[in-house]
Amino acid sequence: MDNAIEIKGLRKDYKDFSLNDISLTLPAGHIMGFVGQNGAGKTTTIRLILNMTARNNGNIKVLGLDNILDEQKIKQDIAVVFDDTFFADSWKVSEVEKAIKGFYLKWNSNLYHKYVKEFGLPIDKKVKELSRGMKMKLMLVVAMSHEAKLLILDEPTSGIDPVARDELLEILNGYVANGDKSIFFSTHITTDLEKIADYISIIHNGNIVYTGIKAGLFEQFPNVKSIDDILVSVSKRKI
Amino acid sequence: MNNILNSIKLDYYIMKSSDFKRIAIIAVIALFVGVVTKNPPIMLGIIMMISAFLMGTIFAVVEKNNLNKLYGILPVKKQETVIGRYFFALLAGVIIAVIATILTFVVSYILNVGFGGFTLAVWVCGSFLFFCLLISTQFPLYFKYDFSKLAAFANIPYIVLIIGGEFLIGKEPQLFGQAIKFFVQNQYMIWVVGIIGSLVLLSISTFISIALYKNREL
Repeated sequence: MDNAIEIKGLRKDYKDFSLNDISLTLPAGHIMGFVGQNGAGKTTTIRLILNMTARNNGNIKVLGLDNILDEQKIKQDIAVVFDDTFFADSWKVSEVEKAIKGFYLKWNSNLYHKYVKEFGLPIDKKVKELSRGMKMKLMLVVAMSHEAKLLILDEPTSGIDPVARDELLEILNGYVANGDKSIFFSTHITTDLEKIADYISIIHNGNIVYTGIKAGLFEQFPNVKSIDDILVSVSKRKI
Repeated sequence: MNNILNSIKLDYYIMKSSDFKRIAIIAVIALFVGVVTKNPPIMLGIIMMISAFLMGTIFAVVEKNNLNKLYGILPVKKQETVIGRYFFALLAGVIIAVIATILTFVVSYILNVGFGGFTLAVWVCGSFLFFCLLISTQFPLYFKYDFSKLAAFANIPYIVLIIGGEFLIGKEPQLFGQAIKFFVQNQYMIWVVGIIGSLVLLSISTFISIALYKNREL
């Protein structure tokens, strides 16, 4: 398996929005930043990768397997963090594990409790009592407790304070440190990516504007100094 | 099979977060009605009917807490989620029926009100069949649409069943009388019809729900 994610010719049509012929590749063992403004198609792309919505065309391979035919197999090896929690708000941190651990063959309870302690999550507190940053950390704990090979994050830093954002980036760096894990990181806060991403894909109005290594981005757009500048230029259609 | 068991467990935790306390409140209300009317078996009907209504609120918890996203990332097939939820409802129905029956016996003993095997069979099987009928009509709709969109119509199955039942009894009293005569003469058939009828209803409803949920976007 050379690529963690391989998307070719992906298309999804809604009444008022379309993803057009999306193609991108995230090589295994790397971090890809998936950048775009709100409404550009980032979440739709992630939902298609997870087969949470049906596509109109194209194909998606995750960890070398077809994302529809091998959906259950793939989902054993991937973990997802969304912008908001997806646990019942009255569950305690300890109950989150009890409710979902059975689904994962490689679930490691020791790891779960180790990360809960490391991230400073109160085990007896309810989800609704956690701050936004703590909820994000709880999703990360779940993600990391079944030894996922691919971590997909959909706007994980939106709405959390700069300290929590830096903590998250530190956690992610630690997660990929041994080289066999990959991260697909969607965000509109580009400073996060400049710190940790190896690869960048920029999406605008459902179209991929750039996909490739981070260094190559500034070769393709020599007149700009940051990813943010590229986003601004793309939105003004200067590029 | 393992994922169906995991889905049942997940549903238990979802339900635990909301409705178990309310079921206890229903038991108190039923107890009150049973004592006041001096008709303890009526408690079975009240508990089973309101419990069936509360089983639907599991979908409300799913919607309120974005749990469809959780289902979207878990390594579980949609049909396993559906089957798991029906098994959970069946299991809950059986447990609630057993508790309600025990409660009925306790209240009967305290009030010194006796009732025969036929009466008990009619209330237990009738209530359980009604419970399954309500589950079978509600769940497919909740698997297809958001709970919030259907909440206003949630009582329609109850109303249709009660009005329809009364209409049938009023229109065909002879048929109803013959049915009672048949069940009095063949009391074991109450259990057969109650149990098999309930399972058939749930099975048909499960297939419909799987078909409806298969193409739903999470």
